[in-house]
Amino acid sequence: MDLQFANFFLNPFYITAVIGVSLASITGSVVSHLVRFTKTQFLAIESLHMILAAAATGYLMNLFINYLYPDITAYIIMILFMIMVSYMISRGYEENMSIATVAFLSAAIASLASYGLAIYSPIGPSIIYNILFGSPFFLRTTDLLVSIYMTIIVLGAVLILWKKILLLSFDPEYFEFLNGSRKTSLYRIIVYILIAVSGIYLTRIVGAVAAHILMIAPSMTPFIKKISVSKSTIIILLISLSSVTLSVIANLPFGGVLGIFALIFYVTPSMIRSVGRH
Amino acid sequence: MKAVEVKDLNVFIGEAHVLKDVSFELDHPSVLVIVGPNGAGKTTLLKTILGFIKRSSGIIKVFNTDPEKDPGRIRNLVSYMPQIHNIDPFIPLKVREIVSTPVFFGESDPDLVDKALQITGLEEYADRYFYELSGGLRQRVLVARALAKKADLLIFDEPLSMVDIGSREHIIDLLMNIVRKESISMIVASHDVSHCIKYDPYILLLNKTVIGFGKAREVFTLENLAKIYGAATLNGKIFFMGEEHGSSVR
Repeated sequence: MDLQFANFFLNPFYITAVIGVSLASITGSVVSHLVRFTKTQFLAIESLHMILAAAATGYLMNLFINYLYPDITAYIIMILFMIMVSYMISRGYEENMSIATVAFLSAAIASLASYGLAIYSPIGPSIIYNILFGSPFFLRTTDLLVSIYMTIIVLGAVLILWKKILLLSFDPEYFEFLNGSRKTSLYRIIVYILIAVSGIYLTRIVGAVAAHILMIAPSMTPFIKKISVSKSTIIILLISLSSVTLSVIANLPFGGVLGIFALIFYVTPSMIRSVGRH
Repeated sequence: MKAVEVKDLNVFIGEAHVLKDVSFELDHPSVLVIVGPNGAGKTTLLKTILGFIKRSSGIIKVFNTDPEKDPGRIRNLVSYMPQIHNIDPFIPLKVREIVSTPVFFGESDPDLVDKALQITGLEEYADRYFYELSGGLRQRVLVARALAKKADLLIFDEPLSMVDIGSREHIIDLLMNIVRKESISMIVASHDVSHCIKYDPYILLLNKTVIGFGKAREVFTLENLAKIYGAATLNGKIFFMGEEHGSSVR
């Protein structure tokens, strides 16, 4: 029994998943606070279309041009989407309308690229499945290395900009007064790009659906509007690791278990409190 | 020397004609209180003076500088306190961090932060989070942040909203003392002018256009007040409908 227990935890697939999911949870938690502070929840939610479009186009282009690494293409496409959103805002369109417009465009691209993948590649449907639901148990060493680099890059960038992001979110008008409108717009674009890049990187590890949970749930911890980033990171890390373990034991997809755990932990207490108030 | 010169200013936001032919001049140093009902264009006027909103026509000079042409110089000359309603109080920032914002962006000296905290009586709250404070204290933090920046002109947009009556007098006394001591100019947009009157400031009665400009005794006539707040007559008496906004606490 003990040997079985040890084998379970020393299984390389399990260890790979634990490392990948831990990195994804830490990044997701930080990005989730970034999303809450900058009130970009709509962007985070709508980024699903953009992530699908970018990832599917990346794989499709890789079929025709071998040296184009799918992830690099996906990052470039995501950044282009964010530049389009920022450009529309700079032209006077509302933020949500700009995001929605780019989301429509990306939904069209996602559909066409997925259709292309299904037609031109024998493993097309499994690639699309992989984009949606991820495969944390089958990450290669290079994937893990890329994940570590991306975690360092995203967390490093957020750390450097943290105070500025807080001040921008606290009082955008005063921030603009001190920094001018161009610099303020630049900071907004950087926030969009950080969210977008993180979306692609999280998708690579856990799939687009679970990536959404990690990008939104941690900062909406029900007991708190004032929770610290470190506390909420520990909470989502524990939830994610429990989900990985349970998904192995129960032979269920990681995203499904994570979604159920997130629902129980983040949404149920709020609903109970809301029922209590009425 | 003029702190602010505004001539034939017109501002459109979309289709709406928000400011119509607004003209006034403010000597330096002096204090101007902009009074008017909701939607009168008080905030728009302040933001146009700061260069945030582009004017459709007219001339604006702040210490002889056009804010649209040289926003950097305006930033050096002016300190600004926006309305508290645009603020997200749940961002985890401490009082000292907020008051130090101008220093963080290289627009002021650290000494001014301590001075601003001391003047506004916030020293004991310096290490508290903004969300832990009451509405009145939050307002004082924003006043302190404005004072922590070197400036020849202070611009305050509704500095008394969310502040209880006792603290209102305290804040105005505090600002007036600073203005007098440092020989700087100040523009305040406010619904409540009562606490400022004893300092005999200039008053700009605004309701999209200038209804009156001058000292309080010249401007606060029944005709002018009826023009901006609307009034009804009954049995030869004039009745004004008052309004109050900005008292909600997030």
